[in-house]
Amino acid sequence: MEAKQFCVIGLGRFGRSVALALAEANQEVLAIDRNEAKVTEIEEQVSQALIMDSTNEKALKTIGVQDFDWIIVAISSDIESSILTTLLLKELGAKKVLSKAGSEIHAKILKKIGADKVVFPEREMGQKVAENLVSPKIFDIVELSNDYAIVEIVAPKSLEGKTIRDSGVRSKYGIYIIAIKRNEPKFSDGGNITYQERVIIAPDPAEEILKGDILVVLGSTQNIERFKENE
Amino acid sequence: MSKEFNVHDLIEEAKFYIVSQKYEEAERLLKRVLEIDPENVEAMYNLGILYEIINDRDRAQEYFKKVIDRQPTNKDAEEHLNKLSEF
Repeated sequence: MEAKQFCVIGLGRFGRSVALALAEANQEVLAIDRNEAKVTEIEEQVSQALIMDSTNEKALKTIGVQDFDWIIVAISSDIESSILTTLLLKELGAKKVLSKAGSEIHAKILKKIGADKVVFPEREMGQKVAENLVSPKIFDIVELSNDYAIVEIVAPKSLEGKTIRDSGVRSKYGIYIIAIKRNEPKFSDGGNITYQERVIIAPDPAEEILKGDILVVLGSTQNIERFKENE
Repeated sequence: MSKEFNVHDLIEEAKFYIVSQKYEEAERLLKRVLEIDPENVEAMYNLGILYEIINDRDRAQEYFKKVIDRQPTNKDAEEHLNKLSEF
C-alpha cells in the first residue's frame, strides 16, 4: 500500500496519538504545533515536525496544504484557533480536513465551515468522563469484560504510609494493585520544582503507598466499587 | 525582618519540603505565605505544582488559574493548566 500524506495540527494528547499511530502504520506524517516542546517530543518519530501557528495564513500557505490526503486539526483547548485553522485550510484548498470538536456547538460550527469529518473523541470517552466526574479520584478505566476492570485511582488517605501487604486490599476487597504511578519531585536547574512520573510495575508487597500515588487496580467491578466506597 | 525576606525564606523552605515529599509541611508553609502576602504568585504557583504532584488536580487547577489571573502571560502556569484540563 502506498503511503498517504497526513498533516496533524495540534499535538496534545489526541493529536499526538493520532500522529504516532499513523507514523507507526508507515504513513507520511507532518506534525505541527505552536509549542516547541511538543514538536521536539515527536520529531524523531514522524516524517517531519514543525513549530508553527496554524492560524497564521501566510505560514499555513508554506506547507502546501493541498498536497495532503488528510489534514487533522487536533486543537481542542482553543476553539477559536480550531475554527480559524479549519477555515483557512479549506480556503487554501486542502483535500480533506478532519477536525476534533470539544463540544456539540464546536462540532456544529466545524461542519458548517467545511470540515470533512468531525470527530468527538470526548463523546467516545463519554463513559470514562462520566465516571471521572462522578468520582474525580478515578483517572482511567479499562473494562476487561462486563465484570472485570483495571482502574487508576488516587491512593485513599487511609492507605497512605502503609505497605501494600498491610493495606489488606487483596484480603479485604479481593483486588490487586498491579502498578503504582508516582510523581517524584526534584529541583530543576533553575531552582524550581519539577517532577517525573515513575511507574512501579508489579510492586513488591513491602512497597509503601505514598500520598498522591495513583494505584492501578485490577479486580471485579463490584469489588473495586466496594474498595472505592470503603477506603 | 522584612516581609519579603521572610516570605522568600518560607517559599524556599516549602520547596525543600516538596522535594523531600513532605507535602503537608510544604502546603502549610505556602499557605502561611499567602496569609502574610495574599497576592504572592510564587506561593500560588508552587501550591499548584504541589497539588499536581499529589494528583489533587482540582486544587492544582484552582491555583494555576489564580496565577494566570494575576500574570496572564505566565507560560509555565498555562502549560500546567492545559495539561490538567485534559482527561
